[in-house]
Amino acid sequence: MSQYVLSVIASGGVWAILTLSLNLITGYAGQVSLGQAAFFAIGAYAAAMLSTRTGFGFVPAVLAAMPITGVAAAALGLLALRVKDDFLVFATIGVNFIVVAILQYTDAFGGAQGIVAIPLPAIGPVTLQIGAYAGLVVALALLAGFASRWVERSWLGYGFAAVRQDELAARTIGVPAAQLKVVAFALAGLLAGLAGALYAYFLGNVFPQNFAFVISIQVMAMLVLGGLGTVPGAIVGAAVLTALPEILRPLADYRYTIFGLVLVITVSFLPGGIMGHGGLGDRALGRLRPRRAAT
Amino acid sequence: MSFLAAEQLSVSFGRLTALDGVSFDVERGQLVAVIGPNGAGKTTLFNAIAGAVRPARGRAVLDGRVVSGRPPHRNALAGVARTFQVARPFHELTVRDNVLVGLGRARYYRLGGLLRRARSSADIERAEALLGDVGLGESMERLAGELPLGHLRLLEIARALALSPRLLMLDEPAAGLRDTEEAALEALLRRLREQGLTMLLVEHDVEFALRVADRAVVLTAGRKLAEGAPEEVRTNPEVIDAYLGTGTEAGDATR
Amino acid sequence: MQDALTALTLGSTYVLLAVGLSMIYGILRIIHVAHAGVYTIGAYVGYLAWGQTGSVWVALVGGMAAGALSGWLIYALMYRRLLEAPRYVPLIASIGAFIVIQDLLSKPWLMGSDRLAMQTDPGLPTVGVLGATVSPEALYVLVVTAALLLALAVLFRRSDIGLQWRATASDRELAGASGVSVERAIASTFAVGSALAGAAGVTVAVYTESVFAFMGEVPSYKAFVIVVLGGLGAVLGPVVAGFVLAFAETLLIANAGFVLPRDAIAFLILVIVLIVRPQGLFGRARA
Repeated sequence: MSQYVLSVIASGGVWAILTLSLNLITGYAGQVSLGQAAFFAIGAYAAAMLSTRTGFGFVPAVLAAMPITGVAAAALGLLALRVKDDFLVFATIGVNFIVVAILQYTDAFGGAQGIVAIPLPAIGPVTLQIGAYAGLVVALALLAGFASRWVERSWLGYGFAAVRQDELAARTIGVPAAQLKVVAFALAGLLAGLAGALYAYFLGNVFPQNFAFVISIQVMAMLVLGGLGTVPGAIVGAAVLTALPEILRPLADYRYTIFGLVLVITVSFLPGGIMGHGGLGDRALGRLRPRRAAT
Repeated sequence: MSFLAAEQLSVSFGRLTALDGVSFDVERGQLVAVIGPNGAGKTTLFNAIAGAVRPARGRAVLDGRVVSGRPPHRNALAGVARTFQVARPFHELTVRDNVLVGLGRARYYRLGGLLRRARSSADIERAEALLGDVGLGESMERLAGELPLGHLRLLEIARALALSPRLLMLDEPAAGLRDTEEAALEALLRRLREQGLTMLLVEHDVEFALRVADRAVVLTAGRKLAEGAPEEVRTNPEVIDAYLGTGTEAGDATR
Repeated sequence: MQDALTALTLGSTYVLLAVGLSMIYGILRIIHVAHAGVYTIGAYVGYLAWGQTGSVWVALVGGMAAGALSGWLIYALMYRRLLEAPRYVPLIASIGAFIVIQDLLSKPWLMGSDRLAMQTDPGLPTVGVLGATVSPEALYVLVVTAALLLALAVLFRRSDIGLQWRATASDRELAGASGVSVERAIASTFAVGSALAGAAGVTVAVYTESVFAFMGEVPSYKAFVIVVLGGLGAVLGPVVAGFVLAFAETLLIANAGFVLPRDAIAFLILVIVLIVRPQGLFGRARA
């Protein structure tokens, strides 16, 4: 496989992990967030700084980036307790802008020049070439998928489903809605931090504009396209929207128009996404299954 | 000491006083009906006891423990269960899963519990048993969003029972039900009474309420007007004046 | 004082855009990101109209008409089918539509990717106020904004359609049951709100003396900040919030040498306000 294809696969894997993280907050817990890029940024910058400023190796940097992002995300989760629904959407957008602005204007974070010369990813003495890296990323994405599925079927997942559908009723039957929302954000932060760290090593450098609001939209689009609330959906959505711009390179001039049209059309006719209720998965099976409960 | 005691419960929303010094006692295992005209504060009373609304004064005590002013989810763990006037099922979940959510209880509060798989056979058995008890044994696979009203009411009750409650508060469970559905509900309430469950019942259908209840409390404009055995309340002149009416007016107070 | 006038002018452009957005959100509860696309379309058509006639007033009419039409089309072709869908569906569709609009406008056969100069002569005087000057372009913005807001207020309070708007925004089902044509109320809200967006586009074009395909990018976010600050769905709220934001931006940048970019100011204010008052400045507290 060519370097190019392996790169696309690696970035697709990173996006899949990021989309899975959004799925926890929005798909499972029902809190619409358009600020995922902020966590992506925190994870990436954490790994970048740990590796370039404090000499952390690849594995420690990635592992450390996760809880750092998790804590930041939990803080946003606390905000989500106070601010609801559409207001929360805007607050998350705001957080995204503010985080990027802070990264852009703070010298400690490299300012507009970002952080460059991130060392190559290495496990022990072995430097990972793009092929191995892509494999690692994909493996981690699948792991994240399994972890999400585990959550979906656990009491946490049931609690999320209840909070998502009717928070008041959920509280009435003993579900600690507030705490679970924060947990959702914290777990999502762990995954987003992982995605960010992997992304930093993939690019070799990080700049604030890599994490602009448009990225948050992209992640949301991937999740909705693939199937909000489903693990296969998150992965498929990420894969499709990562591959699409590459496939559409010949149509380079009209890439964005097509991207926009894909969003409009898919969401209008397949509101459950490709893998969700009423989507292609269902249609391929020749029937309309009942909407997937928290099975 | 009584099992459930409301002590001078008072709730205000801004300048509107919804409850004003309401006090009454409920013995363990009793079914007490709370009746009164619209706007009397019956649902607010439930909200105050369950913790959904904070009383300005007074408190509710269940078996020695204060439940008013505590968050609803904590009270649910402590055994306070309630249903809503307008049913609030989890539309996208199956009937069985609706009840299953209620079986989580203490597991939602510990990391170890949260990460456990939710559909153990013990839990599924219990959910199905509860659904069988309320009469929804046939509908377990159906999505809650597709149920007719009568079944939604039963589902609310089954879900509340999943908490193994010590107090069950039912908010107008008979409203809008057809005769057969109402009869099924009445039979269920009697069965629950026989099992010793303490219940509070708000019901607009006064006949229904007085038929199943051991005692009745009458609220009007946020205050307790009367309290006593169903017959006493039914023939109390003040109650008739304020609420039940005489002759044809009594018909208005029923369904 | 000059700063205050700048803020007032800036705020006017914000307000025209935000009020239309707030009306639409109020009646449909959709996060209408594509509103900024309508704004750009209005600016472009205004530019073309000005090119043909040399008149900024014809440009205004053209921009408003184009805005009304495109906004209405977005509703009729896209949102109308999605009214019952979960909340994120119209949001994603709106984002998609905005992306399409901007991308197509940036094509050489429309606006191209460069700024198009638009040095107009509004035919208005330069006015001096308390030692500061109001340029003809700024005067144009202020006059147009004041006139449109006044007309809107009259429309809302005194007309039939205004009553229908308020009823439908308050309780759609009840309004329908009371004989209001909900469809007409929504469609007309879109038309009027989008016309205001078109007007915003034209006034910005005249004031900044240029139009370009991506001019809607930043206003799209800012308009939402203003709508949220104003209390989602309110109409007076965004007016106040829009000016407050413009003043905050102008003063912070001019005086404190504020470190963060102007856009971040808007969002910083938003997040702080939401923490303190989760329902926005003018919203009603939710249970």
